[in-house]
Amino acid sequence: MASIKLKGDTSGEVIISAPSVAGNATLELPATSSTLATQNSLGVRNIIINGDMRIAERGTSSTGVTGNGYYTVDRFDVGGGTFGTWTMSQDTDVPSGQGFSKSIKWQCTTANTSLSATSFFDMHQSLEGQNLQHLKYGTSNAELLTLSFWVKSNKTGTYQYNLYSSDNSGKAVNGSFTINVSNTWEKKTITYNGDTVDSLDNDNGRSLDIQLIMVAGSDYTGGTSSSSWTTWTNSQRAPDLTVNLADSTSNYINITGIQLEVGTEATPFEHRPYDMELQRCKRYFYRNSGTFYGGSYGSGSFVSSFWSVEMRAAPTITYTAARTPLVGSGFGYTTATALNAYMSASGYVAGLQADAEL
Amino acid sequence: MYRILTDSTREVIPDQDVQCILRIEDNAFIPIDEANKDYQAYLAWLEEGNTPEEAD
Repeated sequence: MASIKLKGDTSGEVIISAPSVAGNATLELPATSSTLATQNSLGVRNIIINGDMRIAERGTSSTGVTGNGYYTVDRFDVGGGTFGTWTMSQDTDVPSGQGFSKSIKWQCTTANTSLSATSFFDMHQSLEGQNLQHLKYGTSNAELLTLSFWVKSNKTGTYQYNLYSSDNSGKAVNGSFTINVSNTWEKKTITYNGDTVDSLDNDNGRSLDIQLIMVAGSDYTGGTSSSSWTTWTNSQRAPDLTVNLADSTSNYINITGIQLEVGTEATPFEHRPYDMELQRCKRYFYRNSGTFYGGSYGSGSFVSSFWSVEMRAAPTITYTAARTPLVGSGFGYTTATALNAYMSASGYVAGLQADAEL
Repeated sequence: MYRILTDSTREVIPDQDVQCILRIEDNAFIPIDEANKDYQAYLAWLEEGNTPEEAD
């Protein structure tokens, strides 16, 4: 068996060997001076949650979208307003041969051909600071990050990306990507510089957003994009954007396979198990169409159940039905670990939604 | 618009009136947790000089 032995400077050795029947396989190293995503390289290297758009707890389609908020696909938030009217859906149109089954689709249903100064439309995912400490921001060893994703639209042209940090009064790096061919899946790769000056808060709050911008009015286009971390201003949100994706009801955009990883190489998309990704989503949003029954407690009854995974924070609760009235503070006893509701008598609550999004 | 909800029975947690914020427009129960974005929005609304409804 042929092998190469690399001796350590002080001790030990690394042996790279070929199998006895070797075939003609090639192991290709990076063309530039970089590493092969040495951190998390074997698993959970994708910092993005639900990047393949499989989880849609809120539903698979939402019509009449005109403003910010979370709609169908988990963990992807819409920012802005005055961007026409859209249908957002979990779609089955995916790039072939990549192992994806779902994408997120935005279809314009009412156009806005004359944007106001404050028109804005982006899709973003916000990330918890405590999941980003390995980026070593605020040190000279701050890691570079690479974002890769697949995109398809009828509307070719230059779009904007931002990596925004809400810590430290707001900072960002940003630039552009181009959709070159209409109605064709294209893979895009973006590398962000690390922030060597300011660290990210080590807590459960929002620290970094990846943002893809499709519509922006003049308030957001007057600045200049920067590949180094700079203080955030509104005019820097979309200076490179040259398209208005809201200018026709023929317009759509599909996106899937979003991956954010340490290093300068876009490695193949990390396909994680469904149950793993679902649990990660449930840390931020939980929906259950079933019924939670209460037991007698004090002068009323108490509905109590642990969440399937500890939520990021105590969640905001909405529900569709309850048999007896909630009393006092209602869901005021609910925490990040458990649903608790105080009712006037033995009863139930049903159709619960718990929101602990960033 | 918001309403403050208070459980003053002290049957569950002695010596503490447990509170929650009701967002009236969608009947959402917002916890007193500064990491919750809806509670953050409520605090910002208070800073603008607004006043919530008191509990019934």
